[in-house]
Amino acid sequence: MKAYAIAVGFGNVAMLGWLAAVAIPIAIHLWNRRIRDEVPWATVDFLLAAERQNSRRIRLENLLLLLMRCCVLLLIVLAASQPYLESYRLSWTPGRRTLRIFVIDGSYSMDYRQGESSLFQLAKRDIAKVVEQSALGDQFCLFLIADPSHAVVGRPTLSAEGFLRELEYLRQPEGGGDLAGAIQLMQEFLQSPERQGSEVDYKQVTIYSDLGKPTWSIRAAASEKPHPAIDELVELSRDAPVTIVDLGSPARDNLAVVNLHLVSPVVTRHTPQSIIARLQNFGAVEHRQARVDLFIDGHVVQSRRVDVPAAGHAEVHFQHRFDVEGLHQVHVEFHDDLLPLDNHRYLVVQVEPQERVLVVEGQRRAGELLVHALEASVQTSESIDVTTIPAYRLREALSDEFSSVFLVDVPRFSTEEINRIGQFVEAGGGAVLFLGDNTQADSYNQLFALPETDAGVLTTKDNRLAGVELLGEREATNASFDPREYTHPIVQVFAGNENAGLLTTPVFKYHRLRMLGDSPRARAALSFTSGDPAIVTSPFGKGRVVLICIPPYAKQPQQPLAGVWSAWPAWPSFLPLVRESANYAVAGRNAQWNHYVGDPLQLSLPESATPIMCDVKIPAGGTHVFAATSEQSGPVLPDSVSSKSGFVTVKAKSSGTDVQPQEFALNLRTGESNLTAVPDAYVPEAISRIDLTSDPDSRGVSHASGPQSIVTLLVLGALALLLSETVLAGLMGRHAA
Amino acid sequence: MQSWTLEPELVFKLQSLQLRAERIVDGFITGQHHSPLHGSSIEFAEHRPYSPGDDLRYLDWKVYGKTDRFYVRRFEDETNLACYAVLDSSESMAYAGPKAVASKWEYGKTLAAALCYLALRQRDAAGLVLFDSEVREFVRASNSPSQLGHVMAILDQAQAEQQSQIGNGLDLLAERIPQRSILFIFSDFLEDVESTMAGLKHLKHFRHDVRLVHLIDRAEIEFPFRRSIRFRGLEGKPSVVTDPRALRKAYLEQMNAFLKRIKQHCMSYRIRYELVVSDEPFDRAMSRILIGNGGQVSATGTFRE
Repeated sequence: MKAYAIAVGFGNVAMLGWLAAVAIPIAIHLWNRRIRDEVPWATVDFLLAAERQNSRRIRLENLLLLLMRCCVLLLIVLAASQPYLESYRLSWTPGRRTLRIFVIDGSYSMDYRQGESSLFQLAKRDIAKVVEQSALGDQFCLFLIADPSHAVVGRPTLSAEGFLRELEYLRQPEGGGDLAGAIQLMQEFLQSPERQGSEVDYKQVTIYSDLGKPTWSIRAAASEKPHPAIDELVELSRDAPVTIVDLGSPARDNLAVVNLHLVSPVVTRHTPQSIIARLQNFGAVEHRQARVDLFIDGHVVQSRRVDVPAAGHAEVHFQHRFDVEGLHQVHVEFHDDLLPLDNHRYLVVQVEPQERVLVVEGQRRAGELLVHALEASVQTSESIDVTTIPAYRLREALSDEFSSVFLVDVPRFSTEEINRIGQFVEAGGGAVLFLGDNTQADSYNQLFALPETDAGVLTTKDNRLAGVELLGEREATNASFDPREYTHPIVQVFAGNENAGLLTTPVFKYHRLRMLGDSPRARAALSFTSGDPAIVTSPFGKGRVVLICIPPYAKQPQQPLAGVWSAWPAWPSFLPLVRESANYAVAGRNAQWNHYVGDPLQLSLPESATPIMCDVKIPAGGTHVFAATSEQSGPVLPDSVSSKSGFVTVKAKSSGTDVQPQEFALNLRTGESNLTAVPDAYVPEAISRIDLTSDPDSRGVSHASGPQSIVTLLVLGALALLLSETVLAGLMGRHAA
Repeated sequence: MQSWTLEPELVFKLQSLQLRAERIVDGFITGQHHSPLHGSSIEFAEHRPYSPGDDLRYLDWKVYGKTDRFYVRRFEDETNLACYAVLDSSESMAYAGPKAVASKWEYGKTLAAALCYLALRQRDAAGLVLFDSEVREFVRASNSPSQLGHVMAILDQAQAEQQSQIGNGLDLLAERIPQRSILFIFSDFLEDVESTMAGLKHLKHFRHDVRLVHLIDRAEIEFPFRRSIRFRGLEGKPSVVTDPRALRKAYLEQMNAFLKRIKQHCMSYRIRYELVVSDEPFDRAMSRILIGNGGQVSATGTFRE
């Protein structure tokens, strides 16, 4: 059961003293009964007969009239007291200064439309109404549950006008909701007397939210629990009563575009590209014939219709060929949905003339078979450019023009090389490492741990390139690969294709790796049948590292036959595994252009450029000038640029010369697209809950009746009672002479 | 339309009942073209045997001479008109409403006196009966010069203070009026209607011309009380404490039903019935009583012409 809090406030409480006047009709009634004149009466028989027939009716009529007269006085006194109904705004008493702390859930699920307005707008409107009806001396604060949560009006203000202005400027954020952060802000606020300003007699917190699961619950061990912050809210309610205004309707369907990607991570000119949009249905009703449009650089190029099953998903496949190199905007949109924000998905792809791959050989011809495999795995030989260099040229040759680097049996790395590889991967490049004859475990472990790295260069929190440790070579008899349920993207192509050779690849020797338990990012894509990992992947920055424990050759010519690693290079599984590893490694190639709402946007500029100001075209519309702040990793645009989903076009002005415009796609984290509200039980009874979903159109009227409306009602009621009393008394013969 | 001048307020300023009667009759006669009573007659009607007490002046000596028996001459007026004012003297008649000038009893006495005066003035025989549960006073109808003083003296001294049994009183009266007469019965008839009608039937049986004058106080037909009042019953009846405004409608229904029943019974027995409210001008009341002017009792007991 939901708890409802309705209270009555009075604008003129002193008038309530007049309620004693209700006793007047009773006193008159009793007085009239006591005064008994006596008259002689001749026709007393008729009186007796009349009384016998009507005594009960007369008693009832007398009581009814008495009640009506009392009610008339009661209503008049109440009307004079200027009462009004308070719902979630709770007990307001004239003369008591109230600090009203409003909290709006700013998660993007609040953009859900009810009628003409979104829930967020309805919340703002309701707050405005409460503020307008508040008494002089009341103070107001406003917090926003967003990601991160923040105070909109962090210091209590006595100025209703100023508060309303701030409220009007407040826009719906397009992120999730950090409930814990918002509650912590309020706790800090309530525990800090100096922040609260002048003293108040009463504090009250009103939270407007749709009580969506993503914000109000957490998932722990496959089960769902109330968000721990709710307990903090209960604690907080001891200091300031908390009321939650529930804006979410019980059953809300929603369809969202949760993913948009290109099948090929590296996009080359004149090559047909598969674009896949994934639609997720969060509702319980199948969505039939949803129209999905594909926009390339702002123009609709294709439309598809798709059925999305209830609580399921559907993928929409588009084919498009990019003819111009450079950055392109890819955008899908579908229509007819009450939560428009998540009906879009944006992607910026960089179209390149060729896929440029750098193969670094630790010894001559160590990567020969690998190069053949890479060139054979693309549609046309023009679409790939493989550069093979010896290991000593690594530092000078590795540049951001390459989408990926394949390090084949490189014996060891210098500190500069380690730094360069780290930077390359962090910026979105892919690094595929083949371990072989010359691999020196200690140097590789340095590389994985990036121990010599200048800490200032790397921005990734986990500054290890990969969470593994190289233990040394291991002989194996009759070992082969174990795809481990085909869960990793690299081996997914083999799922259902057991004859593709993956399971039968003979392996005789491999480098043994140990997965470090404290690094959750490292993941074994493929194992040996002995249980040791064969291919380990690990994201780093925007790029990825793929570590393969056997070399792309069977054995080096100078090695004895006993030194054969495996038959993999000659096996059918070799080419697809190389291709998939390459694709997987470079999947972060476009990551620098594609971000989530709220992410910092880092500009990619030549080192010589010293940008100061940027012309930025933002999704909200218009081009604005922003100053990029210089961070250690490079110039970064202000957070406000990435506050809305859509495309951001940045034209950075370096000193004297303009640099190439850069495109960014900003997408929602789609967790909030699940509009399911938390169960009622999640909100403890200590917190009042108002459900405004049953009659949204009357919000602010039925639940926030102003004093005027109630006074009018009371006066009308008193008049109606007076009229009724007169008519009734006339009918009963009380007024007749 | 006749304008009535003999308002009770004026008439009751006269202390003497006889003066009141004279004033009423004078005023009443002035407005009439001829006597309402069929005037006295000296035409011979019949002889009857002498009985002790008969006026010796009317002995027919010629018949005595022829037959050697005493016969008394009887005249037309004697045979046709002996007028009795029959007045209820029960306690209920003493009731006077809060705005009444006089009680029903005073009003009835004045009307009875005026009636007797009128009859005697026209040389008709007039008699007086006061009754309650029995006949308290009986003055035989006579047109002797002393009759008026006799009647007035009795009326002056009479009080209304006994319980009434109208039916019983009328029964007794029927036995005591020897000749066919006109009986004007002044009463509020607050009694069992059936027993009242039984008494009236008894009178009709002796071929009397019975005319009911139903005296009622205006308060009894309008019930104008507002506050809670204790109504003390008269003639030994219980008291009632009530809110008059709440009970008024039901009371008036009872009263109207009572008036309607009496009137219906009178119509069925061919008895003339007049409802007279005790604040009605006397000349109008006399006119209605003696002639009948079409005045009718409305549903609420008020008059309309």
